[in-house]
Order: sequence, then structure tokens, then C-alpha cells
Amino acid sequence: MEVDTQGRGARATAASWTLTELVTWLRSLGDVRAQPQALQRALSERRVSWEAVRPYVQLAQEGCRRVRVHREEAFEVRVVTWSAGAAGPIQDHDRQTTCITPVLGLVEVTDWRQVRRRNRPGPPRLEPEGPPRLLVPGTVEVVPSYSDAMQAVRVPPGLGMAVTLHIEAQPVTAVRIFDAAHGTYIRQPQRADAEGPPLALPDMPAATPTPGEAPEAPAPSGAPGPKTRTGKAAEVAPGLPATARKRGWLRRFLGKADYLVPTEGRSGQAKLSVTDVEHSYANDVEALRGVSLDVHSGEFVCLLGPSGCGKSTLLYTLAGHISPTGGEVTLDGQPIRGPGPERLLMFQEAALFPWLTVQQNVTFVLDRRLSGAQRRERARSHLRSVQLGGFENAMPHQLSGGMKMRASLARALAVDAPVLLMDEPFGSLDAQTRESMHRLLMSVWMRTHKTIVFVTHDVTEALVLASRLVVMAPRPGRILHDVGLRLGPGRRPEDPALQALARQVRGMLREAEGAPDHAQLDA
Amino acid sequence: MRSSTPRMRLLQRAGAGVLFVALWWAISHFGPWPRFLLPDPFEVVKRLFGMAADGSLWGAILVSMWRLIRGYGLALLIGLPLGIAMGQSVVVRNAVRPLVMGLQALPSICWLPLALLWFGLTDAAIIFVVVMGSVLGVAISVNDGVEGVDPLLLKVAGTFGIRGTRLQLGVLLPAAMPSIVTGMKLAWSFAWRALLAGELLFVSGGLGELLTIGRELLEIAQVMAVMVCIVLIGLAVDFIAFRPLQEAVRRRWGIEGTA
Repeated sequence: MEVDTQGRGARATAASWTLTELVTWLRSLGDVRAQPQALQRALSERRVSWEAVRPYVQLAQEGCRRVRVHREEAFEVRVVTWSAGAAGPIQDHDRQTTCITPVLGLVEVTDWRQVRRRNRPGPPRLEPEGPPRLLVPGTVEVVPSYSDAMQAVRVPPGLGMAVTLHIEAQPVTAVRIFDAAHGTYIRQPQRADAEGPPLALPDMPAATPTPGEAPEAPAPSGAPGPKTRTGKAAEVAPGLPATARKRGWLRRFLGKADYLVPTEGRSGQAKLSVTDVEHSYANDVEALRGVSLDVHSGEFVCLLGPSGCGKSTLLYTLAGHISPTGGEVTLDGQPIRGPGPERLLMFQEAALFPWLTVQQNVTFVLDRRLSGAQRRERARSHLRSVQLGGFENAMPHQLSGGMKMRASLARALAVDAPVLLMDEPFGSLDAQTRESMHRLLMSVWMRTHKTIVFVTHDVTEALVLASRLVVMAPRPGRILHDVGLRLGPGRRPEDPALQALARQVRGMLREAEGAPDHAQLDA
Repeated sequence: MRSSTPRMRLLQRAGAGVLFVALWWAISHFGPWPRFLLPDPFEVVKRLFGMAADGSLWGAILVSMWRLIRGYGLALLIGLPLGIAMGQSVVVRNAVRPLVMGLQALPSICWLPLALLWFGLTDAAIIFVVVMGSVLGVAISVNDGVEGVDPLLLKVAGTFGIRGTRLQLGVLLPAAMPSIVTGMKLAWSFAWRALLAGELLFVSGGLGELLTIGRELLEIAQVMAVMVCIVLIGLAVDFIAFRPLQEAVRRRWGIEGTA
């Protein structure tokens, strides 16, 4: 790859792309061999900063074995090594280890995607020092000590793949590098020329919380963070908001007991953005008033609320079936006008086309540019993934309610829309079928990591599924609470933690109803 | 009808048939009209077989059916798109629907004088009458069918980005198919009546001509034989074409029960 190694000219202008956008763009080209030229072009057009791509160039030109890939204020992802046989630095690396190392604070993995050959995403392994864990979007890894600060994604040998991680961690003030070749930590040298706040290197053995610090944690917010700290304050980047710093500490002490956390504003463009939306129906019912909501890529948002709170209206607005009377709704920054296949709406009923077989139902909605054989193959594989293999030629009316819903899910997944909008899709199913649909949907979400907005009035359903809860209130429809849900995968309705949360959320719903004592919202 | 087994039903039907034939026979022998004005059933059947044997019946049937097929086919070709357009576009619907409903009230045979002036004594005139007799029925039933399509399916189609002809042919038409088939069956009987009325009024081959000739030659057996034949054809088309079609659509669409 022949690139201007100086790159100072390009760096001088503000970069218009982040690394994530760069990688997305390079991937969208589809052709690995075309990427160096494309990169060169992007550099010459100054669409991307030299800083962002330098590691790749270094790797290509100098055979560097340890290199910083990207650092933003909140996180740092590094590709530490990869093998000589790798096809390219961005796609199809072989045996690379990506290290995410926040020191102090916590790592929140909001999105990951690992693409093996043939584009089949699968979960990368997050390996701290200790037993391997699955890297699960939406979960929080509390970093209790330095020994756990290193999170490495190891790629199994022989599988070419690209890993894109969107990680939010806060605050990140110091970094260490794990030397995969020697199995030791090395220090990151101070970089005076780096963009963003300079890295402060902490004294290595610190960061184990001392008991004396514990009582400070539950202090009400608003108290300035640095004052409450001893010793670590120097490591905290000065520009970060006090609450962010504080929350890191809070979380560390409360650990996993703190399941509901305020949704914090995220950097980067929202996938779906709702700004000051209001909607009145023709009969002057004010379905939505002043609703603003940002949904980020990979989130599983449950809209929860009593009937008439406008949650379905909001969903249909996102789908484009309703154009709101006021405000703006965007997808990836583009205003939403009308329904589109990139935002797939699933309804309460399976809504299969009754005159087509199960498989034809899927092939019919697929892109006409695919050949017939491709469409059939895709339909079959998606039907298998929802355990409907062998029912390809059944007619919809021959299926049970749960099977119809699964077929409908397969149809929705087959078009591979990045956003799934679901309007109480499991409301008409019996409890047992619904639970199996929950498991299926969770596995789909973890596998494909789509952005999902899910409307429900069932608290337990919302808690089992969501990574974020948006509680709405009626008359006029508005957002009452917006909380992140810090629960790992494999949640079960009978978990005590979940039941405790359910009580808490039902309290919110009673508040939404405005009837504090006798609202029965248990679905 | 409560608790009628198939065998009972068959017995009842056969009984009614025998009774009908017996009554006919009795009236023809003892009724007010002379035998040559009301031949008994056996003479009619004998005449029917006679005409079938000498080929005159088959020729007439072929001529009539060929006209019907052309007229009915043309009616479908015009009526289906018209019905879909009415169901899809509010403008077309508001503009065309009252006109269609009004014209539907006009018996199709009223078009014959115009048709004769416009097309002369040709097949085209009769085909025109047949088309006018059935096209509106097709359009209305397709329109009703399209408007009765489950709005959820349309939303689904919208969310998958299915529009234009793919929506019309891939979703609207099949979704409306059960009522379209019913409409087609109705339109078929309209077309059949329009055809015979037209054929009766001017001589040009076909079953209508056989009827007219029979009347003019006082061959009442022939008239009645042709009438029987017309009834049989109507039943046969229903049983051979429409019943299986309706049944297939019902089975495919998963509609419960039969109507």
C-alpha cells in the first residue's frame, strides 16, 4: 500500500470521518483488493484523517507488530498483532488480538460485530485474565482492578475475520498495552503529538478500591467528582463531566446491584433519532408531545407504557407509517419519509401472505436483484435458524401461532434490515411460546446485533429483552423514564433480580398512569 | 338442513328430479296446451340426442362458446385493471365508481341496438354486448376485493418496500383473489345471459339461432332441448371451472368452511 507516509497535510484539516465510519465505508466496498486504492483516495480527498489510518499503513509498510489503532476520548481499540498471512489490515485479518484497555472506569460494549468469511457474524471472545467470557453488547464490565483492565478479543486461528467494536468506556485516562507476543504488559509511551487529551500514566499497582472510598460512592449526584477522590484524581481527564467520573466510581462499588442506570448521552450519530416529535390524530387526541429519543446502533430499546401512551404511535412514526404533525425523525441523519425496508416493522400478528408457502413468503420480500436460487437458499437458511426447517412448503394456515410468528421473524431477518421495529409481536402468543420467542429473539439479536425497538406493555417481557427501557405516559403521550438496563444475557423471568426490577418498573408505570395505588399492570 | 347424510341428500335430490319430470310429463299429456306446444320430457331428450348425433348442436355450442370466451376474456382483461385502479386510486374510484354502478343497473341487452349500429350484424356486436354485460361486474367485484384486503398485509408490503406492479400483482391481486373468483363466477353468468339474449335477437349461428329456428318452425322439442342444453352448459361450467377454482383458492388461502 503506497500511502503518503508524512500525511501531515491531510492531518492538518479536520477529519470528517471517524474510524468506525471509515471501516464501515471500506467494508461497503465489498472488495478487499480495492481497499488500498480506496483508502489512498480517501486520504487524498481528506475525508479521513491520517491519524486514523496510520496504524494500518505502518502495519502494511513496516510490519509493525504492536500498534495503536484508534483512540477516542472514551475508548481505545488496538490491534496488537496479526499474522503475516493476513489478507488485509481491515478485512480478513488472521489471528489478531484486539485489545480494549480502559484503566479506571468501566467498559461498556455497545456493539460488536465479527465477520467471518461468508459474512456470518459470531460473538468474539472477550478474554480478561481469567476464564473466557463472551463479549455481550449492552453489558457492562466493571473494572475492579488493574489485573482485569485488559480485555482482549482473540480471534481463533485460521478464521479470517474483521472485528469492529464500538466500545464506550469512561473515563479513560490511561492505557496499557498487552504484548501478545511476550504475554506481558508494556507501558504506552507518552505521546505529546496525539490528538485529544494526553494520556496520564498511573502508577501501576494502584486502582484497587480501598474500603475508605466506599461510603463516598452513593453520595447524591452533583457533588464534584475529583474532590471525593484520593490519589486517582490525577488520572481523570480534566474535560470529562463530573457525573461521568462519578458514575464510574459508583458502579464500581455498587457492582451489579445497580441494574437500572440513567441513559447517558452517547457520542457518535444515533441510528434513529426522534427530536421534539408531536403527533395529534384527526380526532384531536394528542398521541405524542415533545418526544425526543436517540437510539444507537445495536441497542435493544423497549418502549413500555400503559395503553394510549403513544408507544405504538412512536413506533409507527419510526417505521414511517405515520408522519408526525411536528418534530423530526431521522435514520442515520436522514429524515424518514414513509416506510422502508431498512426499518422493518413487525406486527402483533404474523401477517404472512396466506396464499404463499412459508418459504415463498420469505423469498417474495427479498431483493429482486438476487437470483431465484439465492433467494431460496437465503429463505431456507433463515427458516432453519428459527427452527422451521422442514416447513418450507407448508401454508401459513397450517402452522400454529408460534410457528407463524417464527416464520414472520425469519421473513423480517432475511431482508437483513439494520433496524427492527416490533409492535407487541408476541402479545397474542401463549406464555410458553412467548418465552421461547424471547429466547429466539435474544439469540438473533446477539448474533446479528440489529438495532431493535420493541413495543410492549408487559414489564417482564421488557426486562427479559431490553438493553434500554423507555417508559412512556399517556395524555399526552410522552417519555417519562429512559433507563439503561444492565442485565446480562440468559435472563429469566423468575430471576429474583429481575423480579425486583419488575416491581421497580411497575412503580414507574403506576406513576405513568397517575394512579399510585391500584393500577394493576401486571400483564 | 339438519343432519342430512350425503346419501339422504342424494335421495332427496333424485326424488325432486323424478317428481319434476313426472309433473312435466303429466302437464304435457293432460295440461291445457296441445302436445306440440309442450312436448313431454322424453321427446325433448330424444330430440337433444338427435341434434347431438347430427352435429347441429355441437356446431351451435362451439359458435356460442367461442363468442363467450372472447367476450368474457375481454371483460376480464378490462375489468381486472379497472377494479384494481378503482381500489388503488381514490381519484379513479370517485370518478368511475358511480358510473360503473349506474351502468351496472342497465340490462346488458339494452346495448344491442347500439352494438348493431356500431358494429353491424357481426360477431363483434354480440361480443360487445357480452363485454358490457360482464365487465362492470368484474370491475366491481375486483374493486370490492381489493378494498377488502387486510390492511395489515398492505402495511407489511409497505414495510418490505413492495410497491408498484409488484404490489398490485404480487399482493393486491392474490389477496383479493377469493372475492375476485366469486366476482368472476357472477360475471360469467351475466356474460352467458347477455350472449343468449343477443343471439336470440339476431340470427347468426349459435344456440340462440337454434332456439329461434325452433320457434319459427314450431319445433318446440328443439326449443326445449336447447334450453336444457343451456342449463346443462351453465351447470357444467360451474362444476368444471368455477367450483374447483373456488375450492382451490379456498384451500390455498386457508379459508375455513365452504359457502
